[in-house]
Order: sequence, then structure tokens, then C-alpha cells
Amino acid sequence: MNELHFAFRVRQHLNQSLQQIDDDKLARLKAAREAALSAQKEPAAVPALASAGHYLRFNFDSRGLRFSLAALALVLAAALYVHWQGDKLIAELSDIDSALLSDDVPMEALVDKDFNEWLKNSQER
Amino acid sequence: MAKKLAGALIAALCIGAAAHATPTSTAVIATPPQPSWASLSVEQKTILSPLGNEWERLDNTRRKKWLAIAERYKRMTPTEQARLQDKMRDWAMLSPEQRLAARERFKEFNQLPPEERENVKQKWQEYRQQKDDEQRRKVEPAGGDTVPANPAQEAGK
Repeated sequence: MNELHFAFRVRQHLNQSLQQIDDDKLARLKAAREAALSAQKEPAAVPALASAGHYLRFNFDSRGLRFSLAALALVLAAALYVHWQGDKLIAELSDIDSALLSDDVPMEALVDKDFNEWLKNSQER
Repeated sequence: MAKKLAGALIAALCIGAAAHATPTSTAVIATPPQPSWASLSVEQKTILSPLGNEWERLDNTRRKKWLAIAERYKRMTPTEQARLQDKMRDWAMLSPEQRLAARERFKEFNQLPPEERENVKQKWQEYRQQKDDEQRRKVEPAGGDTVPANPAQEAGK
């Protein structure tokens, strides 16, 4: 018996058996099939925004995009920090420079290194 | 991609470190372009007039600082305004290291009580006098035609 012949015999047997199923069992099978079909969910209409969200989520899930966005955010944060630090430093410099230049202490007294030493020595004497 | 993120992180750290640098290295501060001398207002030009010739050579950070000082100038007394304008050019001509050292000394000086501050100013005059005397002695020829301090006493010897 080759394979084709075997398959033919099996099919024949199944068809014959199908004819012999009781009406009661056929009714139960039918009811089960209808119950399964009614339980199947109807395809719901998807709103456009939900589709866009799904699209973005799908794309954001790609590692490359996430890394690029993280790197971009990091560089932007660093640039903002540098800008803020620069402004802070300039404000500090203008504070002290305007106080120093408008004070009556001679500028040379602050610049002359030897005077500082001389002052220390004269106080020790 | 992780390499890109690491690169960005390193760049961010470098930029952050640069921002934390001492005021001697103000050139590293990222400052947007500042106005040229011609673009300043008449009032700004009047206040910053001692820097007129230097302005174009100043970097953006220093221009921004001087513009901030010009704003403060308006709230100063006439005496303070005169002192500031008097010292402005000399201050701009100092090296960054000299300015940094002077600022540090000024901070210390500012913390002194008023009597101590007066004492330092007096000591400065004394020091200047001493320096001038030393300079004069160097210029005068040794044992030469110097005029004796007390000619009568010299004649009596």
C-alpha cells in the first residue's frame, strides 16, 4: 500500500463515518460552532488619533530613535546649562568689577603684588 | 547608537566642565555676538568712552560684561561714576591673570572693617612714597653732585 492509496482509504473511511453520525451529535456540533462564531469579536472602528498614537509608539519603540532623542535632549540640556552658567559668570564679573572700579581704593594697590607682601611685612614689624 | 549617546554624553560633560572653568578663561564661555561700537547707543558710548579704541578688540564675553557695568553706572553716585571711568581703560589693559588677582584682593579688602581699609589706603601712600624714593636714589649718580640733606651740617664737618 503506497501513501496515496492509504490517504484515499482514510478519506473514504472518514466520509463514511460522517454519514453515520447521530442527529443528536450533529445538533451539538452545530450549536458549538454557532456559539464559537458569536463569541468572535467584531472588528471595531479605530479612531485616527489612536492610529497615530499607535504609529508613534511603534516607531518610538525602535531603539535607534530612542537613543537619538536621548542624545539630542542631553546636548540641548548641556547647551542650556552652559548658556546659564555663562550669564551667571558675566553677572558676577560685572558685579565685582563695577564695585572695584568705583571704590576709592587705588587700582594699583590691588594689582601690585609687591605691595601685598610689603603690607604683610609692615604689619609683622 | 550607544556610541552616539556616549559621544553626546562626553560632549555634554566637556561643555559643562568648560562652563565651570575659572574666570581667567572667560573666552570659553559661549556668549552670543555682542554689538559693535557703532551699534551702541549714545548713552552707552558716553559711559564706555574710555574703551572706545579697545571695544572692537574685546571678545563677546567682555563686551557683555562692560554693557552690564554701563547699566550699573547709571545707579552710581557722580563720584563713583568718575572713579569708574577713570580706571576703566587701565583695567581693560590688564592681563586676565592680573584682573583675577586684583578681584581676589579686592574681595579680601572689602571684608576688612572700615578702619582697616583706611589703614591699607594709608599704607599704600607710604609704600608709593618709599618706592618713589628708591627710584630717585637709583637715578641719582652715586656719590655725585647730590645736594646734602643739611648743607650747614655738612659744612661743619
